[in-house]
Amino acid sequence: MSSPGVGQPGAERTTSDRDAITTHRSGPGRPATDLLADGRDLPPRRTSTPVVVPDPPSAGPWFESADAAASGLDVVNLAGRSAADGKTYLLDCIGPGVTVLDADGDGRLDLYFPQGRAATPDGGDSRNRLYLNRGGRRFEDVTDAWGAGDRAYAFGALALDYDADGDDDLLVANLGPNRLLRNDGDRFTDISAEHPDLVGDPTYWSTGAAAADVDGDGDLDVYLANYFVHDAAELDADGPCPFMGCMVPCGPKGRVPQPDVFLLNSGPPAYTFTAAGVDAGFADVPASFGFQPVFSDVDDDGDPDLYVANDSVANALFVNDGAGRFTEEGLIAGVSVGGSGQMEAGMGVAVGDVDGDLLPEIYVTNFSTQTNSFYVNRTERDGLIWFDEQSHVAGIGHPTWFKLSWGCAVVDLDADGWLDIVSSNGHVYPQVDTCDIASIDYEQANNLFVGRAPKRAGDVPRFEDAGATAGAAFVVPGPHRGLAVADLDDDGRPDLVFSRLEQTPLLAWNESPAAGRHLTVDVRWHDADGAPACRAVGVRLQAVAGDRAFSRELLCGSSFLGSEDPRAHFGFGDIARLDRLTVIYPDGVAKTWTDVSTGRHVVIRRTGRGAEAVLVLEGQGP
Amino acid sequence: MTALARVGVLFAAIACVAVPVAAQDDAVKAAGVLRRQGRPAEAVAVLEGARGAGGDATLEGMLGLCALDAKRWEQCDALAAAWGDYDGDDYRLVVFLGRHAATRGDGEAGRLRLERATTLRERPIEARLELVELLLRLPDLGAALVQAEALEAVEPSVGRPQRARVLRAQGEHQARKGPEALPKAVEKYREAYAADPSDPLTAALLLDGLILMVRAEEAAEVIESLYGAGRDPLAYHWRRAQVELAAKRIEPARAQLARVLSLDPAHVEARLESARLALDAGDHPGARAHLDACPPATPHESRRRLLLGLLALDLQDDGAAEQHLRAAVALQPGNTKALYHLGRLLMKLGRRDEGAEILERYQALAH
Repeated sequence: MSSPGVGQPGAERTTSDRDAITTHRSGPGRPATDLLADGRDLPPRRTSTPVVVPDPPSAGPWFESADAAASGLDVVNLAGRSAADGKTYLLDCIGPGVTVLDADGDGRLDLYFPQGRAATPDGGDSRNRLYLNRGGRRFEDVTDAWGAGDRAYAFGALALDYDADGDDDLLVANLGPNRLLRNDGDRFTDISAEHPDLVGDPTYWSTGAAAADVDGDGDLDVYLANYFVHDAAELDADGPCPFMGCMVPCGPKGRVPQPDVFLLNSGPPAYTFTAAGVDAGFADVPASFGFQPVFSDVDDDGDPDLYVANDSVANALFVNDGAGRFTEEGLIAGVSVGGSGQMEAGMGVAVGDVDGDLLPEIYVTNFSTQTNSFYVNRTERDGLIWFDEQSHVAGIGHPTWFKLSWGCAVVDLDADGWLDIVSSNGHVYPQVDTCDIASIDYEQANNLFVGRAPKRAGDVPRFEDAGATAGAAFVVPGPHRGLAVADLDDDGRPDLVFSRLEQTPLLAWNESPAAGRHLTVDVRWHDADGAPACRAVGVRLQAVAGDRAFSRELLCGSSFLGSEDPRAHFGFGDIARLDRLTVIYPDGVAKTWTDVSTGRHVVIRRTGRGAEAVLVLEGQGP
Repeated sequence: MTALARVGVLFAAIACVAVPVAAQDDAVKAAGVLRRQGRPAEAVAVLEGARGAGGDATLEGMLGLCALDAKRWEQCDALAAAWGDYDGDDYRLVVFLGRHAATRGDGEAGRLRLERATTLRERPIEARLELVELLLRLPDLGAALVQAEALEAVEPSVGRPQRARVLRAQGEHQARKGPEALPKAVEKYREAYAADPSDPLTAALLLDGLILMVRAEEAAEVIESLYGAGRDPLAYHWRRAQVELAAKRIEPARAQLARVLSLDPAHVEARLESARLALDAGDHPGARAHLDACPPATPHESRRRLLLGLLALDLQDDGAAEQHLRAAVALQPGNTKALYHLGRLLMKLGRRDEGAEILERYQALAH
């Protein structure tokens, strides 16, 4: 994707004769710090010394909430019986994710909304919706023209280029058969029939999905989470169920969980998904009310590991052995339960290197009267994978205690060089408003936690609850569910799209008045000259300026039942030039550019494989 | 003549003459006075003297009640055996038979007798009181409430506290069902507290429930009425601290905890909550100071050792962390938090077998 960017006309190729390419493969005996061929090391882990700077004054509001319908996003979510009438099934309380993609390849990010069904015999207008970004903060509903309006009861959608043809396809997670929609350039074609393992058991309730090349064969494999058996007759007989003095929809506890599905991509020419959970090490994993998987290289060994947020039971961390076989290590790693060892109800997941040690932290949203979890990555090279849950010390614990959070993101919204955290909030049960439960409401305001510089090097990252001054999106309560973070207007500032149960989406345009200098990096991978430019899922980017290090990882599937801006967004405060910018592809090919200017949008293009790879940094503007 | 003087005269009469029916009546009256004065053994003596070779149902009923009050179980058993098939209408005797059956563990027989007794008088106060007691024990809390309300209708000063007791018991019954039923429990506690604000147990349960449900304003009102205006400053500030902690209002919670500790530096729970807040804020010296200031060997020692373990983990003092976490587990084998952190620590230290065993124990308890 090569976005023109606001006020940045024309493209300028920016390379340096000091550039060099090498193969980066860390792991035992191969410390990453030795692997760059430009004569410099990659930034060492855990040695960056945070600059002690005073907190900037809180200036706001950061976000300007737009009438989504006026922007063209006029889909009103359908979710069974209305909240006002009291919902009967959990099915109608979970709500959809939000998916970011570039459907038409014009460089502008488009949006896809999975749709539920109304409690009417025909289900209402239950088409999923595709909106193309027409620029100027306007979207156009092209659902029918693009054949994207499947009418199943949909929950999640994942934008992934499964067939490596350079455009974003869609995997739609449904109650019932899932769908795979192939992007043919100007419309989507339902090719689900060619992928029966992806379509799955017709009784399954699929939720979130994520993709990564887990076995290093160059194509995207998929992990698809499933929830529980929705048997209306059984639920009618058993329900409603008690919750803090109310009677509410039953589940997930007491229901039959459904196992998640791991799908291996056969690669060219067919690119067929085949269930491969047994071979990949998932055979003994208990079914766990799955919501959202995320692939991330949590141990920095060069392969994607997998974290799965599960509702009401332990979350899971599956560690990749490099060949695509996974071992569950969540309990020992400290990411399966809360900081007190208590079981929580995981909803959404975000990852990001908050403390600048080049290892991703994990942020998990949870139920009310549970804090959202903030797992700080303390993994030592070649040691145990190790996280410490630090939500309280980080300043996130108490403000999220009464919230029920779903979508989430770890992103530098004000480009000050410190990652911020956003979460999308709203209680699952409308009935809580009629109960004698103080401090918990059905409609809730979202959370914004602004990252601040640590007081001392090595301290737990700290955040400041900035919701009150961040704009209406963080003040006005609502039945928020999914959250996608993407720079929709290409001004360098990531914007926010919240899905809302039974309402239109909430669009919050980032108008951060004190925004620092950003760098948006679009990473592409051409298999060969003239081949399509694919999204480079799993790529890691590392930037160094003085004694600070920054890193980003390009994900495919995160937050809650959705997927994200495919580009990397950095914020650097007032840093105008980077000492180094390094890209590391999943196959180990890496390259470092020096003296890179910030405040712009750049594209990294790679052509070819292995030692033959050629990497180019294309920039725009000065 | 006072009632006591009349009893004295009666004693003299009993000693000198055979016992006519009229004397039995007087004895019953005198025994009634003694019984109300809390002197059941003396009442028994009066009645036994008047009884002679045998008493009528009225005397025997009173004798049985007094014997029950005096805990003369053998005498009660004999009386009950003698009158076991009684189906007459003497209120006291029926009450006695009901109370005796209930005391001896035959709740249903007792209930039937006592329910019948309530039909034998316009103001069957003792029968209803005993029924409330019995129904609370059975338990049949709905029926107990009906009896307490009926009692309150005829004798408010006696009935209202009984109704409060039953409502409190209903609240406790709800609370035992788990957190899902807590609002119902609190609703019952509210009613009980309104009926009898003087019952400290009800007030404490209501406060605990309100705090758990984060009904901060309502809890503050109860605290004010119970402990405010200087009545009990320590309880006042400790309860206020609990409210603020539940509401996650951290700075006000810290302020209240500081007030508690200024009044009682050895207040263990306040020390532990203060230590917890300090740990949450990354204030390791502050946490250490509070934990070191706790008096030894309190019922909260497991939690103190857990917090010391967490502090040591934060400070990367693995040896101290293991020592404290093991102590926490030894003191409270079901301390899942200590097991969780201890298991992970042992894994980190490379003692995988030990760690796995501890984590298995944790999982068995936590899941």
